[in-house]
Amino acid sequence: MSDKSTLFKFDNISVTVEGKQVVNSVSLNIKRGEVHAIMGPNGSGKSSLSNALMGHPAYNITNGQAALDGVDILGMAADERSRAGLFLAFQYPLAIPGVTVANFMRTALQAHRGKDADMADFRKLFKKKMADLSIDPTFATRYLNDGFSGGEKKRIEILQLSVLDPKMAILDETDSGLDIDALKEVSKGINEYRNNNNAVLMVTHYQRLLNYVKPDFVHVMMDGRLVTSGGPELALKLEDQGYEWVEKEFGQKAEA
Amino acid sequence: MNIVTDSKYMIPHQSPALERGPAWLREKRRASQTEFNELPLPRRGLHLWRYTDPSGFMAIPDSADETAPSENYKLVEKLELDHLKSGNLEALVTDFGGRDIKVSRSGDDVTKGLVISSLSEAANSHAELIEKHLYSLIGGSSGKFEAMNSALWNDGIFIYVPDNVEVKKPLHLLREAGVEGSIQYPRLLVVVGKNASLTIVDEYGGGSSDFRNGQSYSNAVVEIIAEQDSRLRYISLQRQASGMQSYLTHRAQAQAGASILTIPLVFGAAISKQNFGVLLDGKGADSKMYGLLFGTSRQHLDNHTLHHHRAGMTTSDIDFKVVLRDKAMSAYTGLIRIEEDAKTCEAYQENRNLLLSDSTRAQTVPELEILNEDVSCSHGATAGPIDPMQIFQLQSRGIHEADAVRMIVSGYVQSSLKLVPEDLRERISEFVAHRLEDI
Amino acid sequence: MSDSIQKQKESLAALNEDYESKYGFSDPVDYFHKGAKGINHEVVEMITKMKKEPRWMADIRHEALDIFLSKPMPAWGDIKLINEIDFDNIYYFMKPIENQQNSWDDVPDYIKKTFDRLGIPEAEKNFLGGVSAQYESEVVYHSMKEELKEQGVLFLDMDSALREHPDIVKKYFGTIIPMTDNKFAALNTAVWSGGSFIYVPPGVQVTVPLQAYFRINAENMGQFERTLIIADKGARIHYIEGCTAPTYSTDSLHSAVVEVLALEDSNIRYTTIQNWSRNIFNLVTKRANAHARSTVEWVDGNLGSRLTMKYPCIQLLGEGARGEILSVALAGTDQHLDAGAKVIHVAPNTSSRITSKSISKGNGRASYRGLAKVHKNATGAKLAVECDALLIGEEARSDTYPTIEVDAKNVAVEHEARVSKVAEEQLFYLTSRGLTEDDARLLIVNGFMEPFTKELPLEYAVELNRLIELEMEGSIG
Repeated sequence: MSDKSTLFKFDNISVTVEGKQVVNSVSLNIKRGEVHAIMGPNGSGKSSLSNALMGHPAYNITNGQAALDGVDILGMAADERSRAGLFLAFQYPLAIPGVTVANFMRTALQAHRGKDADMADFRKLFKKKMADLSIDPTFATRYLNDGFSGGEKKRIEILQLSVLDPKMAILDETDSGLDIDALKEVSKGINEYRNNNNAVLMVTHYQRLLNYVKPDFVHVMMDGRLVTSGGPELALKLEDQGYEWVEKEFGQKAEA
Repeated sequence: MNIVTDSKYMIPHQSPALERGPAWLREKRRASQTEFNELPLPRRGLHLWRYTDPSGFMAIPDSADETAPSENYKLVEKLELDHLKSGNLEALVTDFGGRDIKVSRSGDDVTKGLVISSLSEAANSHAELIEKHLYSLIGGSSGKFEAMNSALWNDGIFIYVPDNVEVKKPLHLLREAGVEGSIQYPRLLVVVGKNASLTIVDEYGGGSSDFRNGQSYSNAVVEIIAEQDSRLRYISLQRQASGMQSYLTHRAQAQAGASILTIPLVFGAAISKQNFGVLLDGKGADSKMYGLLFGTSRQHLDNHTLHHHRAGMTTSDIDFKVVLRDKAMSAYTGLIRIEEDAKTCEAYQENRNLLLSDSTRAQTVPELEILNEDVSCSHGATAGPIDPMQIFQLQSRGIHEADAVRMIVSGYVQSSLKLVPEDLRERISEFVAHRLEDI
Repeated sequence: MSDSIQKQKESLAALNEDYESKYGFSDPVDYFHKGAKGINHEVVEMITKMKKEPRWMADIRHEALDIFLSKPMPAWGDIKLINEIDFDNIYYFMKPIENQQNSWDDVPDYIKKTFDRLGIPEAEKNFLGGVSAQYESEVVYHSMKEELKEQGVLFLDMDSALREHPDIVKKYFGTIIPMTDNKFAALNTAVWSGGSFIYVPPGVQVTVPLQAYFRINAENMGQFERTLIIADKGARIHYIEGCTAPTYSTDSLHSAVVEVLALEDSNIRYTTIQNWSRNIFNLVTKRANAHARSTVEWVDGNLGSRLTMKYPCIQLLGEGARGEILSVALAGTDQHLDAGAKVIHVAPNTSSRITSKSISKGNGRASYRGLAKVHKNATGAKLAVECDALLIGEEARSDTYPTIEVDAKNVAVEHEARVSKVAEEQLFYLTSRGLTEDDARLLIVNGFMEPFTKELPLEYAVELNRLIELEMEGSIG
């Protein structure tokens, strides 16, 4: 971790959904090579923040700035943000009937590389990535998320992460709905993706995933605000004592 | 050159069409002529004609010229001849306006017993079969325009698969309407014997390419008899040119244990009205219909489907998918009718309408008539734009919005195409891609 | 579970009577006025003269009669049955008493007894805000709670409304359902008599239902009530109507027109429990205009009649308006209930839901006929239609004729329909727990009807369950 320059920085981000404020002035500075985790109870605004940063049309950023590698992303459409190097692994990936996983991945990678770029290596790359993640090769020809189990959907999200190799990955509740074996596979995929030039922001309710993907920083979100930050020990404390103490200590502040 | 329509048109007694064929056939033509002249024009507002004006289909036959084939024709004919040569087809039949019917078969690899010929030849060579089945499902009493075809058709195509014969490769019928000013009444009779199997691609092309400066007219009839335990796959591809006024009625009878798969693919014509119906007449018969319609510019595409359960333990399934853009209009009416003594039937129907532009119009009327209690039956219909969340999910992987729309639409149509022979599926996928180019 | 079955059994035993003895009786009556059979301009003139109406209304009636006479019979629906109506063999106007009363004590005994047997005065005491009782062509009893009068709520029969509030009637009459709408709307406009008029002033919330009860007593009677309901801005109202008639061997005709106007932010619910005897042709036009942010709900239960053709309609004219139609039909032997719903989305961000539940029994036929239309400007419209049909008996018939027309892109339209019989597995599961097959079937049917009964005031729900029970008794499918 020699080059500790800032990769993804957002300041005072506020988000509304259908006119209701769900994220209130949240800031974070993520450097290359770092793993951050945002933890918080259900409804604290974690997923809203993730979706808003990716440019989800239902989430309206009313205030704040966000820059990836020094480039402002808030003016960009979701596809532009993706091509700029931002990635979001969805909590609830949607099915797109009739579009195969392989066709989808090829199209996405082509979009990243540019219209006329050579894709001759795609098959090989795709096959290798599938094998790395122990995904059955038949998934290549299945329709995206159509009839997939929860665990299968999450693995396909990580496959996308691995193929697109973005600079900055936000993982929204990627551990939810996974049994222990699937969790290990998914964690392995995330760890293989990590390097000194990219960064990961994990958004999670539980610290389960953090046993396998070690965070450098843990932030706690409540009522749409980041209320406290710390090292990995903070996650263990939350696991141990639940969120009540956070509510006691910071609940008032969050409301204020 | 244009065709002339007259909603009060009567077929004259001296019409030369009525004099074609052997005596029994001339009698049928005369009877159809009488029915046509006596039947009133269908009333607007009655549900099958709620969305389409019937008077546009009252073309006066004398107003037509024999015209040259359209530009596309040679290209497609060559393409399909190549498919034949490379061994992907059982046969290619070209039908130019019901006047010139040519059968090309694969040299050494011909299925034994399979009969492919013009109806006029078959009326002599297979007189008994023809007399038994022609007009058995669609004749003068089926309706005004069915009567018109039944009186006036010139020549048509006859296909017969004897009992227990399995035709492995698809049979391709290429119907060409010629350019503006042409009028035709295509007719097809298919008899699939007991325990036999067959795949037919029935492609309708040609016609005027400019509705304002010259139209053409096509009124087609398709009769299919699938005997006991037979298996038939029938793909109807309508890609007529944009100046075409097109009418088609299809009836297929599934006898006991027979299974019929019907795939209506609707892309062409200015105004198209098609009516696909399967009669489930024997115990254990099964019918599936997977339709796909893609309308652009100002196309007016009206489709009706019928699943008529007339015997017990029959099953049916319909999935009719519609994609519309620009100012295109689709009207889909689908009827499932289960008769009183058709017990233990299952019938399902779905119609989805994907609307890509603000000025499209989609009508859907999925109907049920259930006359006994021992059934399981349901239908569903939806209409709306692409789910913006789907677009967002693809965009979030770096795909441009327009590409995302193309991908989703291409995916959406796949389920209708998965049972189409591969060569044709590629062409259809190209049609779809072409129609999405400037989205 | 067995408890509730036991209770239902007991209530059935207590009731121990069928339609014939409960509603099927008729009164021997000396009518104040009984005209001749048949319809022509003299009959119309006689009606308008007897009612001492203003000339503009007389003119409307005559014009409507010409339209009625010139329009053909419908060419759709149950064409055979509907053409059995003999327009020359119907009394178009019968006036039972000279003056309307507002105390049950002043209503002639034979009429009071009728409504007593139907439980109307009892219900009025217990939970209604006002009651109107129509007998043949005219309303014979009318009353409303004092506090509603003080809030400015108008609840009158239509004839009195024309006398006392001619300006309001003239302003709205025939604006939602013009006389040209259909043949039977024209007939009603020509010979209408009775019906309800309700006006709720801005912001007034009427929390207790207002009820009208319609009774046909005479043979070959035609009842043509006319109802107009207006909820002003922010007002709320729930109106309930019920209908019965004696059983005769020849047919009677009921052809009502109901116009409902929901102004901005108002809320109207209109509940019908139609239990006409099996010799009534019930051909009714009902339509509501819903303005911005208003809600209109039709709760429409059809059990009786020989032929019903009724498709309550909501036109969503203002942004954010909402419509809900719950249509229920229970078609027994020799009945054809052709019921349904229409929603027309005209303004943006409007939403609607249609739920249809039908049961066909014996050789009965229940049809759902509907229209769901989204106009070009109604962007963001949401529309859901759900039809569920249950068949009991080998000769039962169910039809579904929905029509969906979408002229806008950003809309969400869904339609679903299912037809099934009482599932063997369900019956088996219940009988394996000790229920008889009849009990199990009744339980399943009640469950099927639950979405409807739960929308009714308790007293009506209980009554409806009894009716279903009577209908279902001994009906092994």
